[in-house]
Amino acid sequence: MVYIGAENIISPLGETAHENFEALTKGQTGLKLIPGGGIKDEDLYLSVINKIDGLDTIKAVEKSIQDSLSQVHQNELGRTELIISTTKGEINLLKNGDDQHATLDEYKRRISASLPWVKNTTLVSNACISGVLALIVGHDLISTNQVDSVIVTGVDMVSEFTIAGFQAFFAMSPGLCKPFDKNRDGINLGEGVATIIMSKNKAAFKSTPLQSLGGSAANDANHISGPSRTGEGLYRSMKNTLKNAQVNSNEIDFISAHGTATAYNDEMESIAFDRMDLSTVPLHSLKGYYGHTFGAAGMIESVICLQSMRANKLIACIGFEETGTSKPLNIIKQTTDKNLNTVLKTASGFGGCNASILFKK
Amino acid sequence: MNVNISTYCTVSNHLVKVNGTEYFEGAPDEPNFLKALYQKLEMSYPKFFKMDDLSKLGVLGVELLKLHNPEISNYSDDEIGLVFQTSKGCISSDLSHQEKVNKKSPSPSIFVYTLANIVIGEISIKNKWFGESILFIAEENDTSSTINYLKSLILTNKSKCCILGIIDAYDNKTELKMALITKQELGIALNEQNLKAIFEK
Repeated sequence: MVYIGAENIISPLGETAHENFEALTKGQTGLKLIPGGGIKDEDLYLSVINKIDGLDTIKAVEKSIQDSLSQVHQNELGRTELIISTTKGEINLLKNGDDQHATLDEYKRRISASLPWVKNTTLVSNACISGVLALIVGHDLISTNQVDSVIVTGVDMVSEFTIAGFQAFFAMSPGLCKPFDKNRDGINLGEGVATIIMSKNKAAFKSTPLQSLGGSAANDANHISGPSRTGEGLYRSMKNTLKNAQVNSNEIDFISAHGTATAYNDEMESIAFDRMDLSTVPLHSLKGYYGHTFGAAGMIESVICLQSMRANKLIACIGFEETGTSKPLNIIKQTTDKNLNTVLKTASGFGGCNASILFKK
Repeated sequence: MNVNISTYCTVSNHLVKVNGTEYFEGAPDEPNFLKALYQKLEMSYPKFFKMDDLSKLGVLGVELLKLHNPEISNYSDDEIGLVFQTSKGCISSDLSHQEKVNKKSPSPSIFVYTLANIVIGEISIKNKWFGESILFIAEENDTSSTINYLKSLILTNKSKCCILGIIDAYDNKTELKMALITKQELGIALNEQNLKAIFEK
């Protein structure tokens, strides 16, 4: 059995998982209009903690991990590995020509140095599925008895580097993003940190943990920057996740989807969910609250899954108004109470990668 | 059954070896070594020329393994896991993109390669492989995480076999260590020591 809990989020919406969850139940968003946020000084909606390029990610990671550790009995964790999920770390350093400190191996070294008691640090950098994949790695390392516990932390910052890239792709919405909506027109960017602890030892957690049933990743084998038209990789990932966990589609109470609010991504997801007979399951994307936080996205969204399960509450998919995918989905329009036992989290990203993981009460 | 190392190859700057035996050596002053290796492999894959060096190197490595172990093609399309690690990742593409950003004219075709896992995407597309895949950031000699996760993929039957890749391509450095890892009765067990030993041959 793999237990999961001790969750934290640091975002514009708060510095604990609970603060973030409360903000979501009130419909608050971290996105705000940043004048001159674009590379040609366009105004952009972003979810930033301070200012663009301003997040000290190492300090934020330390703080997030400390909050998670305060929710466990540290001496009960046993052999513990730290797994970091990020796409670009502190890529803003490159602006000053500092290519030595801008690399992810250097970033990993600096984070490990701040946590000297952790024996081994691993860094997963797998585009937008990094967070979900890092949780899957943690699950598998525990289930094959290679470690007893893992601290998984996901982080990415909003930087000029990434803003410029997505502007070049014409993938940014000029307004607030609208996941799965008929009028969706692109993503908003966001930043944040989230941490989760997984352990084989239930007693390590101060409050009752939930369970991870593990997950699976699959590639589209189709295109490096465009999602598959048939949702092939996401479909295969979910199929394997459910099969390995021996869970049927009709047992899933809620899906935390990726839902970036681009035309092609959300369409692809709707096809994959339809192929899995999951189109009637309540579903949301949290991009309307946090923007797309890349390496932190899967982690932030998984923390909200855990909080939703604890509170038995479905969070509304803000930005969504009218069905806009060829396969209709059961998008959560209003935050409502529902008993949640089994929850599916999915993610998809550049490089044709897809991942999914199951959580259970 | 053990998790064992099967076919393996190395590319160290301009020297290419398969199973410890020299396969190709590019001229030391050859500016386009990866293209020369592509030609040596008699490949016909125009997409190759659009890739960054990291992706080119990864795609070529898999071709080397396939050439010397055609049995790879017997696995079905989602049975092969791709477990890669890189130290400097896509720093070359990062620098190219940053240059474009400084000039306020970013290009999507450069930006997309600023994610180091794109090499895995390119290999998946080329070979029509839909299986498990992951990219870790780790120094060349620190293979413990990569090995542990790869073993868990095979032990949990999520992958029947895996291709392990240790890859770096930046500045003038072109370094690849790649091995097919399978479940067999006999062979060289997958561990850090054995991996180091075969790659030093």
